[in-house]
Amino acid sequence: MSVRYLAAIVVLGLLATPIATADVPTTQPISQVVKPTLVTLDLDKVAAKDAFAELQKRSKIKVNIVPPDLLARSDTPITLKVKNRPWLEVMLELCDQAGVYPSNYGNNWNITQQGDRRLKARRVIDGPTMIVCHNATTDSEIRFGDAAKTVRTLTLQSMLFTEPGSPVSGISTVTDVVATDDLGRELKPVSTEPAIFSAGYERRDFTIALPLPDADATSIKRVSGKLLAAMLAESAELKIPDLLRKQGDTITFRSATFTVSEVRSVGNWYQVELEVSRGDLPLETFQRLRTNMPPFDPRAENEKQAGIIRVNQVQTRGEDQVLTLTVRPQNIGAPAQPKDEADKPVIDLAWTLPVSYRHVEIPFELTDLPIPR
Amino acid sequence: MKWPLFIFALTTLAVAQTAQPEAEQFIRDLTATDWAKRQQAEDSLVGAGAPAIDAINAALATSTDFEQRDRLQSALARIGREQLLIATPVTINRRFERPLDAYTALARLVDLPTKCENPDAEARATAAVPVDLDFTDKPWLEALTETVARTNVNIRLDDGKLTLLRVPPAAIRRPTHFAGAISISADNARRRQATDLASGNTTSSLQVRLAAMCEPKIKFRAESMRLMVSKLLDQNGESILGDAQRVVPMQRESGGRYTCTLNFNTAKNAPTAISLIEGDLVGEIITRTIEARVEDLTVLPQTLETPAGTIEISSLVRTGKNWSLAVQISRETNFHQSLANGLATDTRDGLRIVDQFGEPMRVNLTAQSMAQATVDVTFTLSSTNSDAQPAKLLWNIASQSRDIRIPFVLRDLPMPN
Repeated sequence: MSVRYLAAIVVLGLLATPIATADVPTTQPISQVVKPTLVTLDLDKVAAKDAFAELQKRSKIKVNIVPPDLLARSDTPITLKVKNRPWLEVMLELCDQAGVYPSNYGNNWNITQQGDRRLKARRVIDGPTMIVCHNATTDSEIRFGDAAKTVRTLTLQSMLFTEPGSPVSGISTVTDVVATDDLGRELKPVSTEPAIFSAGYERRDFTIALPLPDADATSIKRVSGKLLAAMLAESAELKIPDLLRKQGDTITFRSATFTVSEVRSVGNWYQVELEVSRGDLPLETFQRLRTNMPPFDPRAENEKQAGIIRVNQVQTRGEDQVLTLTVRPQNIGAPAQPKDEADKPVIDLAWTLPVSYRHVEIPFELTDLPIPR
Repeated sequence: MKWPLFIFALTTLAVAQTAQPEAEQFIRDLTATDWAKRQQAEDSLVGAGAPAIDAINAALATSTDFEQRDRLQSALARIGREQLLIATPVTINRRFERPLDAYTALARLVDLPTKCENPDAEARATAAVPVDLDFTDKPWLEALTETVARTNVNIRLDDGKLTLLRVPPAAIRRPTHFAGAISISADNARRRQATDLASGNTTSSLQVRLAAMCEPKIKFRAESMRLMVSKLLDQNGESILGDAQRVVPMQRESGGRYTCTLNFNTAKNAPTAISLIEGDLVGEIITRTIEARVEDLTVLPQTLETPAGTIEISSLVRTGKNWSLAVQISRETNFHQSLANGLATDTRDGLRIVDQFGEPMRVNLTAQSMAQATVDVTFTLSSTNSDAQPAKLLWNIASQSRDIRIPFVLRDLPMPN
């Protein structure tokens, strides 16, 4: 077998990384656990390209500029003087001045010409987190045959953003929501989403549905609450060397076991079925093994990836799960369609999985949100 | 390669009757030299109804005359369609001691078993609450609707059963148009206004949800059902047809219930009420099915050459504790799209797999890909018995359908403000 066919899949190839070491209560305010990256800048009519370069230099946080010459096209000089402000706040201010838009994918931030325009909506930055309320929808429904009574609901759609490298993996639930309309009436939420605590999600969006029993209010004066978010405490690497020859083998990962039931090659891809027995592994880790979940990437270092793993199907059997994975090695030079079994490259599966979380509270308060009419 | 056994069966038209001499005369007249006489003969055959079916089938088996065969098939379909659309009459005049007994009596009339959704539903349905039913030749759907109101026990028409539900029905009577074995009703209306908080732009929409309920004997080809709206008046009697969709596809929600959402282009000047919705429910009802069988799934691939087209059962592979079954449907079949769409529904359109012990296996559609000439479908088969192995495939496939058009009118629907 040629050396060039030797490919190692190092998916999320980060070393097991304890994020926090101190003993902390299960749930605590995020401000006590994660500190924002503070930035001091003094820019006077500098080119956009230089301004972002200065931000990266000061913060040591890299953002992707797409295309790379995007900022060179901006002829707006940037003037900004800030002292010890959160990175998110400074980055957004630079984007506003340069006329470019940021967009966020998991823990990665890109700067593009189009970007995510929702980030221009109502945003509240608090330390390393930002909450953006981007949409308000009023639903009025009447059920025919009923006494012509219209039921009204206001749904607020929001998103949580964090600094690159943040250990916050996603929103588990929304609690303690209190809202008042512009006439001073308190509105108890009809529902919040996500509503059920589930720490393994990487969910960043959330909704709050408020009743509108009267049609006279024109805005929500204040809505506040808390997001409970899962925060990665420790991850570890599941390694299965020479995957193609491991069919039937059982690999121990902490107290869990992964049995390789099947490995099939489909062109450059491999279909792998793993039977997972949870053991004492935290429920969060188990929940993390979900269909269509992106690779776990706590430090936004996608470039370190050597391949891609996608969980295509999860079947639960009592305490156990059966995962069907698609694995794509980035072994440049490998044939698109290996000719036969003997030509298959040796591949090693390396999958960084979160093994423990702690939970943080992210308080939020949004004011003066219009009720659509 | 092993060829499967086909069993052809008229499922909804099979009415065993002795052929009548008149029918045979009408069939002979289908070859008359005079066109008007041939047309009249076909109409007369249709008028003879179900008793003529045996004579028609007998003639179809021997006739070599092209037009006669065409007219025989047309007459067969027209009889089937008209028979299908006639409501099953309900004549019950008695007291039932429990709601479940009343529903069981009604369901038996259309050959459906009753089933309670869960223990809570069973407790409601078997409570000692007498129900008086006094129906004389009442259409089955109307009788069912009336029984829901009298028992306060809600139901759902599922495939092959009448399910009694835990949640009681809403204390409302929806505007409903009964048309024989089908009813059309209005469920709700929803107005939505959304503001993009980044741009400040607000968009509005108005939707009216309509539903159709069918007796179990009526089965529509997957995704063939549509509502064609021809008249739509607001609270002032002014036409607002231009603001709304005119053709609305209906989706199957459960066995006999189909729904659709009528979207309006704008809600800026949305009506405060709709005084009239008039239109037609159109679709293709299945008038004939065949049962395709593969007696031994361990011998693959197998090709089913059905009147509905070619279906290849390509492979059966064990994947962990489950089985993966690959099926390819050819484009040549008239029912190519319908079969593929039907497989995506809960019922898998009549597909059943049984294991070596004769027990049905659970069938889930896991993948479907459409190519120019074929549709590839992959099913995951599972069972609670870890030793279960797929043994036989039984598939009721629609092989013939006919267009139907049912006019409907709904009046006085208030809209949300």
